[in-house]
Amino acid sequence: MAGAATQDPVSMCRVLVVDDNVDSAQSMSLLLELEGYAVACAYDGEEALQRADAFGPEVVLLDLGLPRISGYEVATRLRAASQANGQPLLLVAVSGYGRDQDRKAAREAGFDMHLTKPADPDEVLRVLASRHSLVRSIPARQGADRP
Amino acid sequence: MVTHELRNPLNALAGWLHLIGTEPAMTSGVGERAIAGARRALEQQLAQIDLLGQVLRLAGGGVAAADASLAFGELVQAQCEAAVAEAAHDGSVRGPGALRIEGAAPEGLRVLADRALLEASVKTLAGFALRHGMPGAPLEVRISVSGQAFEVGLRIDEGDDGGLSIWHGFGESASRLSLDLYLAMLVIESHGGTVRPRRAAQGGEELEIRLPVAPMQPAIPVP
Repeated sequence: MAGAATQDPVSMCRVLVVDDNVDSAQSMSLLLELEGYAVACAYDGEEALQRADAFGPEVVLLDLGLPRISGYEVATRLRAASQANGQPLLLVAVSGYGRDQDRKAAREAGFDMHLTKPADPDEVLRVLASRHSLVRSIPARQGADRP
Repeated sequence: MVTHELRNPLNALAGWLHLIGTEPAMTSGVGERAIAGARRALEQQLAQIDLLGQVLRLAGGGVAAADASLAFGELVQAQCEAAVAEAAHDGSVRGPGALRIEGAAPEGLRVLADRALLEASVKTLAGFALRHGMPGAPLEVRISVSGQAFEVGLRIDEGDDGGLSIWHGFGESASRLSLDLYLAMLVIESHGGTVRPRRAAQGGEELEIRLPVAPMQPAIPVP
């Protein structure tokens, strides 16, 4: 793991980690904090929407099978909000559901990427480090095929 | 279903192990937390494997049912109360979530069942409703007898967010059920019962559990 505080523009990038498995959420959260990211956690879909509203994340690592409001629904709403306010948002599904139909459903819900659990922490860090090339610009994404 | 369930604790384990393997974590006081987290994830993984073993045993017809005669209404009430207490203790129910029980089973009517499995299943279903229902919504439990079956309804108010009903997985494909819910369904079915979601008369959706009433014991002749 690299020392994060020195890696601009990692510093101050806001990441929201959403997972109903508390250990998954907290280990990822600590890992990212040590890398210099500003991190918030949520443990169900409803809390995720509330935290996103208050925290304004640039990246959301989002589980799909969440209590109360599913990860798909959360993604749809976050994507709509991101389009409405013109703020780019990288939405990454991190889920045990890794079949083709799960990936397709994730794309349709507005996710940019899909990582199947167990997610390799190094891969997550690589994804976050390259987020500027991954995140969809607002005008370009409308109707565009997602990566 | 199975791979998804097993991947969750594995994901946590991967995260904690990654932290354990990095110097900044181990020198910043995160290390002990990571080690404890890794142990916890390992225990969760083992619990999932045990659960999977039970599911496979039941799916193969290996249930030891019909070895005890139980007052089902009392069992349901006790397990729902236990689920409420547990949810309140671990903070998984927000707001004034509570339990409302309506109706009762006539005295003397019983089910033949494996007590431990049936208790665990009812508690699992009630706990799931409490954790996944809308915050503050009470768990409403309906107990009745219809024909030759006990009926228990677990109802929770739907939110207005357009999300799926929490009981959705029971109605369409068991492949989306978590292992613990799938096991609860198998237990009910292995006792000759059914589990299905249905619209509740007062709104919202209810999970209806039906179990056959045990035949009455013949009266013991008085000498």
